[in-house]
Amino acid sequence: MLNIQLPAKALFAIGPLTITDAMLATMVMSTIIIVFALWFSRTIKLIPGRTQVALETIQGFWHKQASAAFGDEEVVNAVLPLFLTLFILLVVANQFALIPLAGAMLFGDSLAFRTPTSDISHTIALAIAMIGFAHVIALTVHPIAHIGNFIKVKPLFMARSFPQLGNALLEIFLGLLDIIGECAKILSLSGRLFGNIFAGDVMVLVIASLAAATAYIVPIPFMFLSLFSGFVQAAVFTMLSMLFIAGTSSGHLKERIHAKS
Amino acid sequence: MDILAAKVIAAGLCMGIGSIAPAIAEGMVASKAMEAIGRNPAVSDKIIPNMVVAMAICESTGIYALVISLIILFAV
Repeated sequence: MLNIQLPAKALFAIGPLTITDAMLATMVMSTIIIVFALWFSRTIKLIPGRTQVALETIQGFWHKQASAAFGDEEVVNAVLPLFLTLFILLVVANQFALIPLAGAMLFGDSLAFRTPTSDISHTIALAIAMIGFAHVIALTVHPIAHIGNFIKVKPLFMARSFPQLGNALLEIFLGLLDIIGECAKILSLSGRLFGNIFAGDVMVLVIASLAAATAYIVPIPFMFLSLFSGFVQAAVFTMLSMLFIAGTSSGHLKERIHAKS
Repeated sequence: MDILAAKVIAAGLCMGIGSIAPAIAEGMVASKAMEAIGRNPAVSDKIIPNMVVAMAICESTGIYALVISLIILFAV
């Protein structure tokens, strides 16, 4: 049996906090992104260079998607940094295995790094953050109305006859189903990303360890496949979380931002 | 039955049955996209990215089957 582990391996502990290999990789990756961002924000010019053009293309793409999802320009400008951060984080995290030597470094007697998104804790945390953001915004603006979307007791008080009472009970039941649906959103968002990235890693590992002849050249097409799916899944995760947030709290965001200005 | 044999059979069945529907769905997405491109080749630049995203979403049930079979194999 190959050395494939579903949970991340614990490396060491700082007090009560256990540091796993995926966490270590996430920290290294975040440091790389932050240093790059700090360096790049000083070199922004009116006449863009190559890197700036590439990043502005990404920004333009997400701005278009966010305009289609949210509609209002001020809301788009307010929430776009969140989605761009998410996208950049996921793109770098999914391609972590491509950083030279990162997959071979040892910590003690075990590998020090692991692709961050091939640990399900990481993707579940991101999904909870995204879905939680939508609900927190909705709850801060209209708490009672937002809770009323899920626990629908209003038709029960307005029922005048037995058919209406039946409909009201059905509404309550459907509202409870919506609560399960919100949890299913978290599970589906995180499971999709985790499955793709982990499967890419496992596939390359399996192909490389089939025989001595397949260890060097043969895995390259499969690596390319997992590279491609890494980009696609980063875009899909960002787009779906954008749609969920727009569906739950687009109006709330608009009210909140317009109330401030 | 040996527990390892049961695990391997379960993971294989999970993957085999679970990948039927996503394959059909992705084929439908691709065929519709091809039809649209055939009808109006000028918009193929706009259709292809949308097609890839739609395929990735169709794929997700297959990915869930994959996650389940990986959990069966490596975590339980």
